Amino acid sequence: MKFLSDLNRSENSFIYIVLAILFELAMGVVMFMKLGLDALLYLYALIPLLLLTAFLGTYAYNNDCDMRLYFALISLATTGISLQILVDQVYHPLTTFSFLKYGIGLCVAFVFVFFYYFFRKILSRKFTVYLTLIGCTAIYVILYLYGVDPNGYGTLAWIRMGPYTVQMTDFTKVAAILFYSSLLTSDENRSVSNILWISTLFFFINLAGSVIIHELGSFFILFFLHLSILFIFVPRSLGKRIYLIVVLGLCVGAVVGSFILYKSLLPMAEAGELSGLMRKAWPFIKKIYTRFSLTANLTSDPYGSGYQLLQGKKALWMSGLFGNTVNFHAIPVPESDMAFIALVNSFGLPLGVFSILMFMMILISGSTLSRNMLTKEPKDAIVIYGATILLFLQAIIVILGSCNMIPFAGLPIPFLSRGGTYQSIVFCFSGLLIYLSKGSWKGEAHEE
Amino acid sequence: MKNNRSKKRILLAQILCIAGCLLFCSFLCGKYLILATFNESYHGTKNTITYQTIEDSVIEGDFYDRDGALILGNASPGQSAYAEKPKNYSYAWLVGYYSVNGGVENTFGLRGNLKDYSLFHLDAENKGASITLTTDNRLQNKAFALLNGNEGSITVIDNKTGAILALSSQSTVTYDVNDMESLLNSDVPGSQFRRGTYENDPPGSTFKVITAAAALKKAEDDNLDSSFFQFVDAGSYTPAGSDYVITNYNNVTYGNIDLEEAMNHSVNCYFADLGIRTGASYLQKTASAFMLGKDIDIPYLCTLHSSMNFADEKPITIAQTSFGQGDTQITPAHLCLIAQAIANDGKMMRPYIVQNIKSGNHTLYRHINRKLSTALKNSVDVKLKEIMHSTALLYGLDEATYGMVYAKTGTAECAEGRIHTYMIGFTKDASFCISMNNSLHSTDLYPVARQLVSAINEIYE
Repeated sequence: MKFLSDLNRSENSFIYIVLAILFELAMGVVMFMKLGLDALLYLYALIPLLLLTAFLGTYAYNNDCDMRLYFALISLATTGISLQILVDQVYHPLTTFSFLKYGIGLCVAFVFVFFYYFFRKILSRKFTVYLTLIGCTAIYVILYLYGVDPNGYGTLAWIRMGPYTVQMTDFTKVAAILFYSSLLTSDENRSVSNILWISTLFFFINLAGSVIIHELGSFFILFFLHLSILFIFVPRSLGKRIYLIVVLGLCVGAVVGSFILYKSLLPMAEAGELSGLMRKAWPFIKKIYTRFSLTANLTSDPYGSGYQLLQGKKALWMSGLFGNTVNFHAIPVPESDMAFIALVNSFGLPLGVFSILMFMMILISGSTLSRNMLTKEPKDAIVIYGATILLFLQAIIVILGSCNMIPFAGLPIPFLSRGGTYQSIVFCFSGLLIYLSKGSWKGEAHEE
Repeated sequence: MKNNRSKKRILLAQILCIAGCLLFCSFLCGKYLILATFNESYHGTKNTITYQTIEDSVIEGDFYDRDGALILGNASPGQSAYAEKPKNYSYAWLVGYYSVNGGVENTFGLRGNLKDYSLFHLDAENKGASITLTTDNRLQNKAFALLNGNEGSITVIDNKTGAILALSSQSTVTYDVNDMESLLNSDVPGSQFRRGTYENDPPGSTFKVITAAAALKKAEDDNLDSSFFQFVDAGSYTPAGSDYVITNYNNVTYGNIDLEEAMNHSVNCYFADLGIRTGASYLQKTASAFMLGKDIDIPYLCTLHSSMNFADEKPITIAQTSFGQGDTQITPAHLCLIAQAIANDGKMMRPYIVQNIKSGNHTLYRHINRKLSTALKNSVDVKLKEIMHSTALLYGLDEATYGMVYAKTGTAECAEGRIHTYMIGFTKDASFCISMNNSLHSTDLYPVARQLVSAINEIYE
């Protein structure tokens, strides 16, 4: 019987390793067709990539990890590397894609999984909630005091460490997952109202910190994580219901209020007559108004705030099946915020859609795993769900934003964008998901 | 923490996210891929956006003739390609234009239909793909010169392949391909279309070729002897059940004649009677085999439309159709294809004008010859050729000077009292159709045909 079960497993799962390798080779062919000899850079990347695929694939296979998740992660990483090599050759951005940073990111992920192996033992302790809360606060304090803006984006999200810069706000996402897991599975047996109060405190720490360092992008992702975790994992109660409705109402109210304030304050702002609180609030009001009005009418400011999205829209129209044929390379920040648009414009819409489907596969695998873990290890279930949502949501929100479907843009896309710190965090979450999916594939096969 | 509902909520969130993702993927593919390819309006939007983005940097691809001689080219970034004299006039109606004004796409001719290659498929130097046509510059220029400013068209098609060697048109305006305004500024009604491919008129006596083919086929099928083709012409003919009197051209009476004599002199009464005796069914089948009533696509140029109507099967309808009047409508290019089918042992080839499209060393498109229809049996074809050859001799296309030439003229009475004259014919290599809109007599076409046949023979030497 054991032999039959093993045979069944290998029949089901080995194919994903082969598919991952075939995808990497196929991308090599595509790269040669797109770049000619410049695609040799991909060939250099292919050797370690194939080794990683084989190593991770063997680990996942031997430990009955979720092989669909493995394939989704590998194919997205391959797509991201291909895109970044092409971006360097075609768009010539300020920075070049670094294989070294990529490798460091993988090492960090390995260390992080090791760290989680020990940290999860104290995740249910009372003090861990406060530890993560303090950790998160410390990140913002450090950024407020020592934060730098190396790229001129107007935010203080980085700190300089010798020749390198590290985007510290990405660590708040790790802290957030650990915080919610600790809060909701604590030995203390907290009441719903207690959970809501403490999580609101965490929420406001992030809001205040983000406002101080002018980095609202990461906060929005945390905002969605906050709402979804409270909705899913906090027991049903009137207090929770009211809380969620009030928070959502406040959000809508903030947007409507911003529109009203913008219209009423505009003459004063133009005349330079704003003072006090209104003067400080004006940039935020203006930003919210601009974002929403741009989504509604992209051509309202085609050469100003709408330029990036308008170029993105042009690229989408020109992308076609195999990428644009008119040498259109006027997409701003193709290596980061507009990576999805650059991907579609360079390789065609089918690869873009494939990437979205791979993010969807991560969501399916992560959510299924989280559901299965909920009865066995709730703390792991919340960590898995948090990591899944952070990967999936950030990807989808930024993709939708860059396609001008929602009034949001300005963050890297997991796997597709470059950025040393964010890449490391993405690999940490990915490694965590693969590690925590140990045994799940076999279980699923038995369930079937 | 124990929360039994959590599993269901995760599942709910998962389903909502999957639905959202699938919806977004459908939107992306639907709008930017499927609609942008298959929906005319969306494709226009895509082209407009693309053109406006690249118009200052794009170098339009060149157009070459079948020998690699430049037709239209020498474009520079932001400046359209141009043609030198006399090609700027002789190719104008064929090559056409592409432009975007005020967010609206304006297209005409090959440039309009091939924009995806010549403007939107760029190499590393931002140059569009090069297009090689099947035309011959010498023949195209000669054909345009033969029109001599008269409204009409001359089409020449290779017998074996269906390649269009020349398609010269002249409208009521003089269109210079280097000056789009010379066409667009015209307010003369009906001036802005290519005569050879869009002008649907009755075929006149050129249809007698089809009537003759149908009768020859019936005679073979029914084992009819030569008496089937004998007719005593009295100079007029009244179909049964009608008081409409059909007369011959110039009211001439020919007496006892056979098919060849009737074709030589284009005797209306003979063909009216022959058509009725052959029957609507044979006429319909033969006309259909020559693609009458069916659309013929010329890749990247246009679709030829034609129509005929035998529906009521009344003798008067059959009689009128048989000598080329009635409700039959056809384009000059289609008439040329009928000649091509007879020349090619009854096989009509798919007409084409784009030989290949290349971007650098990559071939993006290459035409593959394809048969469109088998119009005639070989035995019928041989007899028809004999008759058309003796007819051509009467037009002054003698064997000693022009080689073996086969031809038939036609004069169509069109709407609003217009007279449209045609001559269809072929040599051993190529078929032709000369079409003149305002010439009263088909005899006016004889000198044009002689010069055209000489030019055709020259390029095949």
